[in-house]
Amino acid sequence: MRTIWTIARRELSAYFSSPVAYVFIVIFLLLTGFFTFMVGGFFERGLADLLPFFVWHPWLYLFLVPAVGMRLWSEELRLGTIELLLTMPVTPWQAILGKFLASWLFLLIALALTFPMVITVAYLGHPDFGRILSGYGGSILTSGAFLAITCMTSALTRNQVISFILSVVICLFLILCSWPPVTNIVVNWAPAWLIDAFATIGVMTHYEGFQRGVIDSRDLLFFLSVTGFFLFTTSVILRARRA
Amino acid sequence: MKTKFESLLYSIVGVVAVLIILVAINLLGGFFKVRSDLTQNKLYTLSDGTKKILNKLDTPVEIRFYFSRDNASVPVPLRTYAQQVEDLLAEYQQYSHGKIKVVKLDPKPDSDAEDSANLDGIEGLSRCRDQLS
Repeated sequence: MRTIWTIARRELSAYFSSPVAYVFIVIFLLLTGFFTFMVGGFFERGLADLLPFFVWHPWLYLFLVPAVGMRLWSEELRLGTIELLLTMPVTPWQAILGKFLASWLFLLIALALTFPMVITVAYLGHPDFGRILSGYGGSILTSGAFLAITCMTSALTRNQVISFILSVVICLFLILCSWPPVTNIVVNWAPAWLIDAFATIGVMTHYEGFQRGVIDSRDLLFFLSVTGFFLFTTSVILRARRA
Repeated sequence: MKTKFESLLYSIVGVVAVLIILVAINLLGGFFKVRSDLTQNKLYTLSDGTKKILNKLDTPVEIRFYFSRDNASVPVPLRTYAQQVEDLLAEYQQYSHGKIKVVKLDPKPDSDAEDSANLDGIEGLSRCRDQLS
C-alpha cells in the first residue's frame, strides 16, 4: 500500500512539475464553462441545477482523459525506464495502481476546481445538493473508466500519439453505442437484442442515472467493472512485454 | 519462442476469462439492484401508497407516452420535463411486476403514432416560433 502511494505521489508531482498540468486544468475549466453557459443553455433553462454542466463531462473526458493518461506507460517504454521500474522491489500491480491513482487524483483536482459552478447555482437559486453530489460521483467514475482504458492503450505502444488515438477511439465507442442519435440510425436494421447489448455497455446509459441524482448499484458495478477490466488488461500487456 | 507464444496465449485466455466473469457479475447484479435516491425531495422514489396500489394491480395496464422527440422546435425545458416523466414511468414499471407496460411514441405528422394520439384524444400543441426564443 505504501509503495502504491509512493509511486502515485511521484507521478502526481511529475504532472505539476511541467506546464502540462496547468494547461490541462485551465482548458478543462474553460471548456466546462463554455459548454455549460453557451451550449448547454444554463440560463435559458431557468432551473437551479447543474444538468447542463454534467451532461458534457463524458464528451470532455473523451479527449482530456487520454491526454492526461497517454504518457503513463508509453513514456516509460520509450525511455526504457520501465525496466528500471519493474526491477525495483515493486510488483506490476503496485506500479499500475500507483500510476492510475496519480492520474485519477489529478483529474479529481481538475474536477474539484469546478466548484464555482456550484457556488453560482447556489447563489442563483436553491439547487438540489444531493443531485449535484451524485453528478460529481458519476463524473469521477466516468473519468476513472476512461483513464483505465488510456492506461491499457499506453502500455501497448511507446508512441504517445498512438496511445492517445487508440484510447479516444475506444472511449468514443463506449459513448456512441448508447447515444440516442446513433442508436436511432441503427435501430432500422439491427435486432433489438443487439441494441440492448450495446446500450448496456454504453457509458451514457449508466452516467444518466448519476445526473438525475439516483445512484444505482448496476451503474456503479458497470463503471467499476470497466475500470477493473482495463487495469487487468494493462497488467497482462506489461507481463507479456517483460517476458 | 514457444514459451513466449504460450505465455501470450495464456494471457489472452486470461483476459477473455476475466471479461466473461465481469459480464456475468454485471448480469447477476441486474437482479440485485439497489438504488439510493440522493435528491432532496426523493423525486425518483415512489411513495408507499403508490407502491401498494401498484402491487394490487391485477390486469395489465398500458401507458402510452407521447412526446415529439425528433421535433427540433421543442424547447429545452419541455425536453427536460419529458425526460423526468419518462423516468417516473420507468419507476412505475419497475414496481408493477410486469403489469404496467410503457409505450413511448413520437407523434410525427402522418404517422401511426399520431393517429394513436388522436384516438387517445391528445391534440398537438402548436407554439409560435417567436415565443420559443
